[in-house]
Amino acid sequence: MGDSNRLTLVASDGGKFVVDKEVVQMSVLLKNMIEDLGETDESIPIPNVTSPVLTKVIEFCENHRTDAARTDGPNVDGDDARMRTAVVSDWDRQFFDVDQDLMFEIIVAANYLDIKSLVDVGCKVVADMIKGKSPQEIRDLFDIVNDFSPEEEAALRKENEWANDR
Amino acid sequence: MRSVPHHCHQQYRASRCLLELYLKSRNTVTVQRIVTYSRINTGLGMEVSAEEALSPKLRTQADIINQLNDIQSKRREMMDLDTLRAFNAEELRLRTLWNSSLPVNHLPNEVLVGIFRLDADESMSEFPMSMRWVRLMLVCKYWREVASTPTLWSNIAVFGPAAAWLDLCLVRSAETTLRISLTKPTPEMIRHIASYSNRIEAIAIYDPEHPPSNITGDNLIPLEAPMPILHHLIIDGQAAFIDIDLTSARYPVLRSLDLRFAAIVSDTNLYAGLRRLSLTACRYRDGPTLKQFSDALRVATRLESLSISGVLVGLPHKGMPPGSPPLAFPHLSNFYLEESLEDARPFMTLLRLPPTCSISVRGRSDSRVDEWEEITISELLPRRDDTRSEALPMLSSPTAVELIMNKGDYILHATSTTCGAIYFSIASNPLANWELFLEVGLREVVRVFGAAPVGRLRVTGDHRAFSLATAWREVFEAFPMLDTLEVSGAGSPSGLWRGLRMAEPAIIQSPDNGRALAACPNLRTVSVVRCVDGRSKTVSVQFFEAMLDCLRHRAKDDARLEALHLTLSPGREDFDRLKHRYLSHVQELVEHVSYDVYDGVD
Repeated sequence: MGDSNRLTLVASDGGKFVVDKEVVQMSVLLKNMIEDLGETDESIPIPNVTSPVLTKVIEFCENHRTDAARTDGPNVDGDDARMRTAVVSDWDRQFFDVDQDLMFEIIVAANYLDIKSLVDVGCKVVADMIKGKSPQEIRDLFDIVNDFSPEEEAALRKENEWANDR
Repeated sequence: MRSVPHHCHQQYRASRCLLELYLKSRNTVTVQRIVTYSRINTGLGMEVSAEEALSPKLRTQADIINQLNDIQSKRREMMDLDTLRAFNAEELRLRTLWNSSLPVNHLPNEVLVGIFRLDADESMSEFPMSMRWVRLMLVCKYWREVASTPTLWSNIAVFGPAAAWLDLCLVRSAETTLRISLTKPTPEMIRHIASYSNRIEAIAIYDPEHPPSNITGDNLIPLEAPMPILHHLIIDGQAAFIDIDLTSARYPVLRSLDLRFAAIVSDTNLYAGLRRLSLTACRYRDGPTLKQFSDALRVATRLESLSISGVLVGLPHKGMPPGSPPLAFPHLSNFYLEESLEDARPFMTLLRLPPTCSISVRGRSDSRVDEWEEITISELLPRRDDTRSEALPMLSSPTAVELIMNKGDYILHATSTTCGAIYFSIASNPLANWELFLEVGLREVVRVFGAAPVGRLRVTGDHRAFSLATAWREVFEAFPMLDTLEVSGAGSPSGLWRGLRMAEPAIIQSPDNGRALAACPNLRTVSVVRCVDGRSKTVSVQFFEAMLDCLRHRAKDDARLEALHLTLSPGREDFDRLKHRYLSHVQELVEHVSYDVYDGVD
């Protein structure tokens, strides 16, 4: 019989991670799963998340375990207000100081596992990256190419010209 | 049988050849080539002109071939265009495919929508202040698709007469609840949004003074339509006074009301549900009194934030009956008042604020120069001490207080760990030189915060007046828990050292050994920052003498300072002389001494 306070998560590539229950429960998805399963020694497969990404996700949850209360209780002001007021610490910024592939994979995994604080911080980091940048600068930032025809782009610009502040 | 003339036969053969050549080749056949063929086949020499070389028939055929050529080349152009289009379409398809392979575009829609929202929300305001995020639609097709999410379009900010844009935003918002801010809208736009009144959760109409606009109360009448889910309303009518009829029946769930240059709401029921109320330069339609205004506010017991600026001036308060019931706001966490001194006090006397409430009270004075000395922060507050402590219980909480008396600034600011910030200020017209009245200011610190456990005090003003020592003494007597003191401004603050010494005799005898305790025995850090002496050098000597005397006594009474920071400006040469004469003694009496010369330039 293993430690009842710890759980084993299995990444999509088979990597195994033994993690404190308290940390795992920052994920609403896993929290609900644990509640449904009850006391169990079985490993929990995380089919959509690779080992490198799961390592980072666990690192974040370990660091934020004390403010895990964020996931509890009713969400009075809604996702927007929560995301808007989320605080990005220096540690969080350093945490996301990784290559873009990994950064977006972490956010996708956090969204899948329903770890709100990680999604919020990730969104804020990306929002800060694009803040004040032109569409071309954003394309350059993320290697996006312009897939609009000149006519489509011109029409879109014309349509939205009043969106800018006067 | 009629024989065919040789040259005709040759011409016929020539034209056949040309046509066959054209049909076979499907290439452009020029008139020049027809002429050349004709010359060859008819045996005509090169000396003959092109016109002569061609018979009328051949000319006609050449015309036809020319036209066929035209058609052919146009068809080829069209085929090229089609090909080009196909190529372009394929390129765009591949570009879209490329984009879809990128990690950023693997983010789920709702996450990308969240990022777009954060991009829009630079001000952290809950109200839409811009739609700059719309530019993100131009990044790529996937982002445009994500940006078409109706919830993103539920926060609409439109600047100027952009009716078509407003319409487009409203259409894109589908059936979501709306938060709309319109700056200088046209009457047509206001009518248009009124037709969405059932979906409007928050609305702000801004009408800045410049350029002139045509927003009037009449133009805003469409907003009087029932708005069953309206929570938040801002009407800022700086360009023209706005008078619209706001009632609780029309806005049953209104929680936040912000009116500027508009008519004060007469329907008292509307106030009952409010959590936030901000009134700036508002007035009643028919000139009621402070009593009527306070009666309306009295029902607003759920208020969490109240801001009143330039409103009381229009409300005669002479008719306030004595013993009027107070205005209690048990949930208030922020209170802001900006009024003339005469209007502020009667209102402040009515208030009953919770101890944790942040308050900011700014008084305006139009007093004459010879009256400045009599103007005090206390003028803003209830006169009687018992009323004051009841109305503003937070005044007994601050642990840190700052007094600023500069040219144009008269500010008393305090903070505490148990209550919100407290801020009082007085602005005068003409601009008063408050720094001359530091003595008055120091006494105000005691009058306003005398009951508070003040540990840190920062004072800025003109320290040159000799009489300041008595005022400082009152400060030290009032705040025995003081541990940190910072002074700055004009002149060397020798008065503070004399005042600290003067406060000693009043101190009780220690029960243990009968020895006198120093004033403010916890005082550990004193900073004298940027005190500019001007040309007077004697003041610095007095400062050092007074400081040395005080520090010696404190050392004797076991109340040594731990740190003394001096930044004075007697001039480098004088400072070196004074340092030589005094600082070695000071260093014997204080654990850590730092000093520097300030040249008066930041």
